[in-house]
Amino acid sequence: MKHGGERLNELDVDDLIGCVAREMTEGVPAPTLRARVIDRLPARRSAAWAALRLPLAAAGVLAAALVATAGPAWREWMATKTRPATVAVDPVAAVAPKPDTDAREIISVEPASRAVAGRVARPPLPSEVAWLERAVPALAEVEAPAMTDIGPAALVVPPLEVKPLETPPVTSGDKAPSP
Amino acid sequence: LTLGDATGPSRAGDRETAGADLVARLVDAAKAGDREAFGELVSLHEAVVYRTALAALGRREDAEDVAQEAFVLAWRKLAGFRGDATFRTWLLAIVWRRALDRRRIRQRWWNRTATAGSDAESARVDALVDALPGPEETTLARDLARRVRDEIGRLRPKLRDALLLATCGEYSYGEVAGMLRIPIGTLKWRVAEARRIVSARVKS
Repeated sequence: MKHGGERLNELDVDDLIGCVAREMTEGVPAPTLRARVIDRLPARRSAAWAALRLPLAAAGVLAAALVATAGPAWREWMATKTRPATVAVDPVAAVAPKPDTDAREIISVEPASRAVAGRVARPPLPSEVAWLERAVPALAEVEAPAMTDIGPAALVVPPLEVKPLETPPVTSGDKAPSP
Repeated sequence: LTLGDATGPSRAGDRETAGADLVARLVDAAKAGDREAFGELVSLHEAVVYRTALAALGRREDAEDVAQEAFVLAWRKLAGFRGDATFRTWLLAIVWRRALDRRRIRQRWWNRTATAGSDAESARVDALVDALPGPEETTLARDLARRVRDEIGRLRPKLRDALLLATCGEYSYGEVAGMLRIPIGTLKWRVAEARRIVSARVKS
């Protein structure tokens, strides 16, 4: 093509590059493009929704943060509101109760949290006392499970004896095995 | 809102300002959900969007699809358009990214053989070649044009994109640099390098 380039001295290659490059990106879309685009447009949410979206998202984040930080305290407070009072059992007395001790001496009614620290402790109900009298000795009767040795006996491996192979000497009458 | 609203001023600068105002009004209406206003925006920009996609993809069918997808995507994202750049620049960035996604997905993105050489597209080369004196020169020039086309197709994508976008006459260097996300100096170097490579290969 070198000779062609020389003969085409009126045609600058650089101009030709520009022409071809423009030609490669030339063209118009189909006349139906606009209609096809309009047909495919999804419904737009209203402007009111667009304006509310950000505040709603912020409120959601705030609520999540509140739940994360104040959740435990809220649950504790709700617990104190829903149950009459927390009955705390002395662990020592629960494990080994004195048989002749009055139930009122081994239980103590204490406020469950600081939120109810100022409240006056009420005496336990008869039903609660009866439940404790049944449950505490039952707990004391539970015996710890005995552990037995389950370790397997050691394996005994007899020593391996290896005897040297004995082969008879090759004689002139021996032949190679046929394939 | 129609194009006719912007045809008052006679001076080019005033027309440009009026065009920008028209686009701004159409964008505001489209943001409010006016599909017809968005349709006007499509009509105003469909050619440049199509050519952008064609520069990246090289196939007219793909360019048509990507142009359509880009407009639909622009409609969805229109609420996020703040006007920091012009609507055209914002739209070109969308279509260019979309076209590059398509190009990555489809490995056969530079198969131009079926479309680039049609009669309708050869008008520019025809005009250049017809000025030559004889039929032999004309034939040689056409062969040269085919070789140039092939060599442009063989360029690395970075050089080819820069050359096609900067040469097609549709965009400013700033717009092309924005689309390619490169400095203008880098863009100019790529265009010059692409021209140098194609010219050297064709002459060799």
